[in-house]
Amino acid sequence: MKTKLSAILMVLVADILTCSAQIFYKFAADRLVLTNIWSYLTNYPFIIGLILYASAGFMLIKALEKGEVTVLYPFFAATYVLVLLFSRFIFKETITPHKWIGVIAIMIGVTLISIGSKSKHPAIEYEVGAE
Amino acid sequence: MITHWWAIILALISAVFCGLGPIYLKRGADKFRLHPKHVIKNKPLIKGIGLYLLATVFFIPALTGGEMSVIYPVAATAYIWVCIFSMLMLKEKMNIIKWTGISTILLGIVFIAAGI
Repeated sequence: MKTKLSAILMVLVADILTCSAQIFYKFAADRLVLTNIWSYLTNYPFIIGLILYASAGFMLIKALEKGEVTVLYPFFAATYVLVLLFSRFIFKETITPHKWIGVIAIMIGVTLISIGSKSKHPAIEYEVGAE
Repeated sequence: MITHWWAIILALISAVFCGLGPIYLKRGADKFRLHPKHVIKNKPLIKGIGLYLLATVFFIPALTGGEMSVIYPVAATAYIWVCIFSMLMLKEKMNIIKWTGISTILLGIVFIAAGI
């Protein structure tokens, strides 16, 4: 099975949704009383975060329908990149050089997965448990 | 803070569940229809979601028993487990470029988790 480009784009949308959900959770956490269940239900950022997470899950399932797990799952790591960019530009957090290196490494890794999935070179392709 | 050995084991168990989850989600996705009745009857999908829940159940105590810089990279081995399970259970192909990509992502997560 070949992975369709649309499936990869859907995972990237799921990444954006997950990242947005985490940002809403950050807003929610500021006014959450951990032991009070009512404070969860009346906490709008928390509810929005949940809905965003559920939408991300839905997008991911729809994407998996049209592609390989070994290609699509690694693309989920792009969430780390988005969260860091959001932290930097929305929350004005300082990002250390180490973290920028991490972000660049993840981006290179994801690109390699995408290149590798299109590789037709027989010498470097192998399978476990093939029929 | 010292990272306890049991926290690393919990994170590793969580990572294995996290790696197995997408395999079942994929099997469920192939016959997915957005209707409560179909979702409940979609056994692989329910298994996949259940595995993610299990992963979370193991991950949270792991975080309490260890440093983020150790626990996160251990949890990130899920990217390796996903590939191994996909090869075994879904007959997907891996190649040297894809493994290099996985290693680079892991390295990136180590750098981010190190948080220096």
